[in-house]
Amino acid sequence: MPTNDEPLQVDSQGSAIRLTDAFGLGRSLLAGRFNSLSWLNLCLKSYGLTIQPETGTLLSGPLLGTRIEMMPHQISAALKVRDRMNGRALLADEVGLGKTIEACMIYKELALRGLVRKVLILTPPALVSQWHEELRTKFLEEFTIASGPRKLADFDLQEKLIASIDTAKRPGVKERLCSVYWDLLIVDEAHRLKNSRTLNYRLARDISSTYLLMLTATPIQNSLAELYNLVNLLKPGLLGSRLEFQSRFSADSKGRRVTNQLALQRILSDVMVRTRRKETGLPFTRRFSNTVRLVPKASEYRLYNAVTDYVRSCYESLPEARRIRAAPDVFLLITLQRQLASSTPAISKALRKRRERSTPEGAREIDELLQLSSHVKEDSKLIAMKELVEATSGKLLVFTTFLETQEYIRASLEDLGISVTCYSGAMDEGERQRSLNAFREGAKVLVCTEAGSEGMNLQFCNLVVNYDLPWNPLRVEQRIGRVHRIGQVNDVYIFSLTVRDTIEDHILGLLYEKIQLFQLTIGDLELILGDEVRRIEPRIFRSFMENDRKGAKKAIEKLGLDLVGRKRRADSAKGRNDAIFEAVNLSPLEEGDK
Amino acid sequence: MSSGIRDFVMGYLELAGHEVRSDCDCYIVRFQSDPDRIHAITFSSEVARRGQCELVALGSPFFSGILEDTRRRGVAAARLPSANLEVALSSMTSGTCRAVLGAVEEMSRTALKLYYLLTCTSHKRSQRFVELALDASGQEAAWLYPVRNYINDEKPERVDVKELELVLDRSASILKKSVDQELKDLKDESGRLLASAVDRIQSYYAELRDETRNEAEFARSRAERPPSARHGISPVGISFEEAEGLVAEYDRLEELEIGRERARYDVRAEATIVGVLLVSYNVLRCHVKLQNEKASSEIVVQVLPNGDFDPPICEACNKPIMEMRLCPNGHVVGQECIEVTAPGETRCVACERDSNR
Repeated sequence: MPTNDEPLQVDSQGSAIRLTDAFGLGRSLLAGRFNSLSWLNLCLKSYGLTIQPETGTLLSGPLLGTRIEMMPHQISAALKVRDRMNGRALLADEVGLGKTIEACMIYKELALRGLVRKVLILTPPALVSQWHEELRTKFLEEFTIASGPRKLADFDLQEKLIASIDTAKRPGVKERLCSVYWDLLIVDEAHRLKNSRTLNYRLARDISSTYLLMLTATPIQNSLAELYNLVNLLKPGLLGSRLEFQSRFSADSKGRRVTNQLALQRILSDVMVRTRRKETGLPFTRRFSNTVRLVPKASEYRLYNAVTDYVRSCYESLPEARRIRAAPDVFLLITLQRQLASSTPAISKALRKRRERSTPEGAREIDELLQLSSHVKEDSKLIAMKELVEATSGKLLVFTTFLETQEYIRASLEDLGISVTCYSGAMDEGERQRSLNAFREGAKVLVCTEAGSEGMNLQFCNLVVNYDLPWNPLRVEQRIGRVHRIGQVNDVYIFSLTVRDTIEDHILGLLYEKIQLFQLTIGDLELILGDEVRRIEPRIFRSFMENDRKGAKKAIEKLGLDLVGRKRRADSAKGRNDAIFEAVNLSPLEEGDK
Repeated sequence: MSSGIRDFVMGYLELAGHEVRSDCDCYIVRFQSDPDRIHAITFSSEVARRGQCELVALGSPFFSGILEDTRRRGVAAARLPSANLEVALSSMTSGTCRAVLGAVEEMSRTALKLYYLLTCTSHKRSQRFVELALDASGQEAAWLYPVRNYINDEKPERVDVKELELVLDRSASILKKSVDQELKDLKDESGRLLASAVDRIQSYYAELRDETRNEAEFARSRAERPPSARHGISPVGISFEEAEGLVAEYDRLEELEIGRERARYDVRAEATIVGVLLVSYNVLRCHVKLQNEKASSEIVVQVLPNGDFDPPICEACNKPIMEMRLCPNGHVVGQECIEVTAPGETRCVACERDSNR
């Protein structure tokens, strides 16, 4: 009897028929283990439910419909990629139209049809956890993240793997990824593969997969040659040789303008989907950012300065090598500094914890800080928060990074008789769901930590409060993205609370406002920051720890200018794509869908 | 939500003996094996969106779990009732011939109905069910296909493992015959597409190689010119060695890409056994006396549960007879071998042959 382990091969017209018994029915038969006829009938009926060869609908539609808002352009794109592009496509929707969701929909669809089992997702390092969370919360898919020596040991045996491009191209890792034939490879922010001479490009080229999805809003950053390189990964030779392509489609020597648009459109429509915002008919509302700069009370000012000096002295005591490569103890200090900016309860708890591991001398130093913290009766930010809640009529989504701050806000607002609910990574799935329902159905305020917040869709709310401020710009956008996303019908108002002359205050004024961070989407940020995003936090911290106040401001200003330059370059790349693709229609939407 | 999924799930819960309580659009399931464990499900996307209970749909954890459990239970046994001999006998004869039943022996038999899910995959994929019915000797038992009047859940007294193994193996070759044409068509189609993909890749790399060598040639000719004839263009470019290195890399990539296309268009067929029904039944070995006004004859027939019987052989033409006639001289013949010679008078081909001798 054929078993799953030992398939019987029967040659038929030169092709083997593999006989399998995935559920051990042959063994049950031979062992005389029988079920009732009703079970057999039900069993046969079950296959009827999963064999659905019809095209034009998504098998995954009913399931995903409860977890995500599937937009017509995403459904059309998924169907087009599945039915007409054979699962190999460049998903190049404009920024903010949900390419990640589109790719996950295609994956889920192929998986439900039994076509995909082994999946590899390559993303920029900063987006690895976001992909992981999106897949887990919205698509019920558990992926393994390839990171750390233990997880790397058997990563190529994993069926569902997410790796950062940087990890994947490491010697030793790359070879193992390339030795596996993947069913599906997804490459996010695929403009990182634009240059065919780079390791990134070679990595994607050398990984074999049946299906391939590449995601980027800007397939062309500088020249048409970059688009050529990306298409060559999907279907080598589709656009002819490089010279042929240049002479046929490039209107200038630098490949900045396109000619023969219709011919290019015809070829690209085999491998590329690009929906523009204006084609979706979706309302895209605006964002308004408001900074609430607060003057600290004397007790707060003393605490802030004392703890900052303490953090600085800890930093200075670290060996230089650890400071430079931002070792874990540097991140601990960054967290301490951020807890200080978040709330008095947050820093007090952190200090008490630190005291437990300290030498007697260190403990004495911390006791002095705790003494200062006890003098702060109520944080200025909390007072401002209460005023804000009382002054607004709509629902407020309040973000903080720390659980102690979350509790501090909740308790204080509830004392005022305001209905508050909380959401954090410390809660289980049921508690979180109940909390979201409470917010949707009645509570005025939801106080949320970042952890676990990636799956939330809160378009019914349009007021966001940054009670404390992440130093990583991507985190800021992830917060705003909970409410300012497809489906939001109102303008979104963002309030950021900072205390004057703190690190956060400088980050907000000299960095975020310079690049108009609050107006940018994740896609925009990825284009602007690229890998720099990972370095921003330690860079900011170093600026403050290694300079006096004036010097720190200067260093942050310099970082701001650097980001402005990056933003300008990203804007011009977007403009180039807009100009080129304006004439090349690759929208998956039929006239009726628009 | 498809009603198929709802029917299936409710059918499962009932068969598995789980307690189900309906609460608006939610169903509260209490598991039979663990009464403390309850699970709220719904078939309504709207209700699920409110987060109260889990939507049961393709791909949802609850649905996937019960699919797997159900699919492990696809082995059943059933018995078929024996043939109604009165009906069977009446269908055996025609004309004035009557069949009178004599001694009947019961012979116990088994057969297998096997259900395969056949999946053919290449650049596209198709799936369909294949149902096979085989008797204990491994021969296809076509009579069993339409039969549905099982006596539920009656298990055979003993299972002949060797016999079943033989039948299961035999099913593979019958299966093969039934999919040959389908696979051939798919292979033809994917072969055409593969040829076109290989052609695209080969021409692409051929052009790349030409361009690379031309570039090296061009760089060399520039370098050989005196500086005054270079028109300000510096003699940079790739050397022949570099060009050959690139060409070797293109050869490797070409081979890799063609290999991938071959894998993509490779035709694969997988038959997964998804259901097995062991059917027990009796074959009735009947002694039948055929008689008319002038003659009688005794034959033995084996009657299957659906009333089919082993056709006796015509004494005139030696072919199997489905409807027996008896000639005045007692020959058992078929309809075609008997003729009416006068009103009430018949004569068969066997009688004619005897008289000619």
